[in-house]
Amino acid sequence: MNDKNDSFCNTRATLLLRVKNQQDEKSWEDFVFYYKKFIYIICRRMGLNHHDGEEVVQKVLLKLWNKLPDFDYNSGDRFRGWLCMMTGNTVKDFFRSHSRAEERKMKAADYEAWNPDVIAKPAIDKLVSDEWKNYISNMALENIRPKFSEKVIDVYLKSTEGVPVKELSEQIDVPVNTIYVYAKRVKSKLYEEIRRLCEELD
Amino acid sequence: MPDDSIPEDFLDNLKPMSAVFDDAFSESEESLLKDELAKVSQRYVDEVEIARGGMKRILSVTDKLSVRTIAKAVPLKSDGKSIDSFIKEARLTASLQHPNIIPIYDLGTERESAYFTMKLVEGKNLSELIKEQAVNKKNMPLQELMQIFLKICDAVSYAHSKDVIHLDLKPANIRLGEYGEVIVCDWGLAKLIGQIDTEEPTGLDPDVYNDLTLNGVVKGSLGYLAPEQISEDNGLKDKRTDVFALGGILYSMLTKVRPVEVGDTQASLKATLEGDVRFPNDLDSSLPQSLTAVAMKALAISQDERYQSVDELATEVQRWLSGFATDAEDASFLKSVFLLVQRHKNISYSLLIILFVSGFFTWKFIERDRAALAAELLYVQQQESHRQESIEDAELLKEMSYQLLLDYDFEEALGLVNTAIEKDPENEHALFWKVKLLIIRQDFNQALKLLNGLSPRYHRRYMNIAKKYGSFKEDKEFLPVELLKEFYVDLAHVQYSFFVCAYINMNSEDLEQRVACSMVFMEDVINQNIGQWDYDLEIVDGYVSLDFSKTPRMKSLAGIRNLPVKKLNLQGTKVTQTLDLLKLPLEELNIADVEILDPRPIFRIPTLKVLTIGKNQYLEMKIPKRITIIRL
Repeated sequence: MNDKNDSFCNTRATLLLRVKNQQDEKSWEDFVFYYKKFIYIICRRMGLNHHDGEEVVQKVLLKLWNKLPDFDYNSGDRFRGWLCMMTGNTVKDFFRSHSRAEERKMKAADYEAWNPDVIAKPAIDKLVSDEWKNYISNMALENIRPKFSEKVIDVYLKSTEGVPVKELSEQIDVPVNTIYVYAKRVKSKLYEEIRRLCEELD
Repeated sequence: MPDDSIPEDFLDNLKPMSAVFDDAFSESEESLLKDELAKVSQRYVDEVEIARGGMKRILSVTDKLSVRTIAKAVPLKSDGKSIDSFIKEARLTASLQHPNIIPIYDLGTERESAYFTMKLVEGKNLSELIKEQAVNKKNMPLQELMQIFLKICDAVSYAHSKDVIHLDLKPANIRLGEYGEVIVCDWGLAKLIGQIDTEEPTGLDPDVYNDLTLNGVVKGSLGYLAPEQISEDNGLKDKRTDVFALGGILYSMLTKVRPVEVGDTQASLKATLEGDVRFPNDLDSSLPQSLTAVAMKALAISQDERYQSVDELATEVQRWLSGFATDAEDASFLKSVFLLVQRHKNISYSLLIILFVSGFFTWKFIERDRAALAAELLYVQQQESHRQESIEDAELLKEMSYQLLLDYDFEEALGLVNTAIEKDPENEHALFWKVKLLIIRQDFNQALKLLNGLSPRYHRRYMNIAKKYGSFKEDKEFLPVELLKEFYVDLAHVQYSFFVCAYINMNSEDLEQRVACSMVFMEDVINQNIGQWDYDLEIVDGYVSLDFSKTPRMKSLAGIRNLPVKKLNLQGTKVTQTLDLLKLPLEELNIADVEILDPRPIFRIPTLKVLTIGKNQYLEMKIPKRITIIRL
């Protein structure tokens, strides 16, 4: 995925362009790798449990496989809005076909928050966008994790959670200055990775 | 479709990180610290009361912004007048920025009242120190106490320069930090003198600030209170009021008691007004009269009889510290001479001798003339100012040690640097100089031991030398001649190499070894790159004959300076200086066709019998008849 050496005169095609225009095996694999979990998150946010979520993800991916070539791509956000809408419809169908299950009905309340029929589109877009940001940031964190020791990552996470540096320093017995250095190191790597992923995916 | 199923706990493991995402794209450089500052809602926390005075409470607090423990003052009363006076005190103190005055950090309001924050000086106050001294009898040297006193004077003198008078100076208001800080605190009674022509205006209006202390009530602390603070019949409060209080502090530091007893308020006020103060030497006869006299003068009832400024008072104490008679003591001539001798005892006898011998110090107390003595005192005073601290003493000793080396006094040089290290064991310059001395003496293992305790920053080269050559031999032996050249190369220092050569010459019994070492120095250090190098050598009956006429470009004879050379042929060489020849036991010397700049010292070599010179050389010069001249 780190194909930084794409040296054709066109700027590097993003994943979405590649998967739409070329429909090649590799691009599709990449797409699934990145988006499967995102679709899963949306499913779960709409109230599905883990297993149902996985099932719906497969359905959504199948739909995408068919519909992607027709999608008029112009931005990642717009694509994800569209994706979410489609996922929402799939979830709705899923609830409908499984309405016999009581617990699912209960969970359907969560779905209302995402229901495109009920909520205005801008609000949904905002939800999707936030979810995406969170997802990418988490992915970036996992990507850079092997580059640091567990302690360093931990220091960073704690500091972002608002644990005062002095307290943190006493907790893990690391000098305050070192904590700043640790946090800064992780932070700059993480930001770099987030920017890289965005460039790659949008 | 790839078959990597999603773990069940995937969602739970997601961290709330969408804010991070936005930050990654924000223009401004991210700052953890800024966030931390922004999160602080209450700046001062963990308040603990540490002191309470008549007007305010002092708390120790943690400043969450600067993350340090500081002191916070809050007024005891919350009426408008009290708060105003409190704020005025804070501003007045804040206007005084001096290392010996408590620094104010911040002034503000909270909960209907006001506060100010300042440095928290850990340690004790002077009053506690004096009590400790009195009770435990563990005496801090008087010199050290007087250094503290001088710092108090510095602070007050500075305040006076800003037209601020303290009016409540007393030992309890002087804080002594753990690291030698002396801080004058509690400027609650301080007053601004209404004077217009200050160079650096404090920006404070005297009219606003003065009325607080001028309300007719006696303010100040018994024992340190000046007569004019009790009754205006004794004059108006001015800078000399602080001089009085400083006199009281000095008195307490000397005698460990207050100048005036404080049991009965009326009685002590009366004692103050009448100047009923016991002479300190009646309390402790061992106290130096030079100082007790200073304290008594500062404590004079009449303002005109006191020192007229803090600087005058401080100068007197300073004079005592540097070992001079104080004016208050009305010193006699004999006392001055006694002190002059006394002062120099402190420097150490060996230094005295060197100063004397080196001739840059002339000892004049034979001249029983007061004017000469005064000039002498001035001169010594200037010298003294350079060695106030023992560290500077150590520096000076190191320097002297180097001077000695130039005279080949290796033992005394080492002795002196040892004295320097005794005085100041941390002095890296002295320690490093000792390393160099040891290396010159080829005591490599000792040098190595010493180096191991030093920071390696700038000693690495010497460390390598000590390690390398220390393995070849015991410290008492000298390196074999074959290794000397390499040693000189590693030393990479012409002068030190010369010292190495001189040290061997002066400490080896083996003449052949001495000559060989000198020749290595001559060839490989002092006369490098001169092309052809050849000489004839003969050793007979403990004397040396040398012939350098085959080395026409030889320039320097420095290496043979300490050899017993009886016959020397320099014909045709490029030698120009005679310095190296003068101490040789020369009997025969050939300087034909050598362009010696000034040959006259040669004619004065007492042992010289035969001098060979060129046909037309030195025709004009008077050569003693005892020297046989051979003209080539």
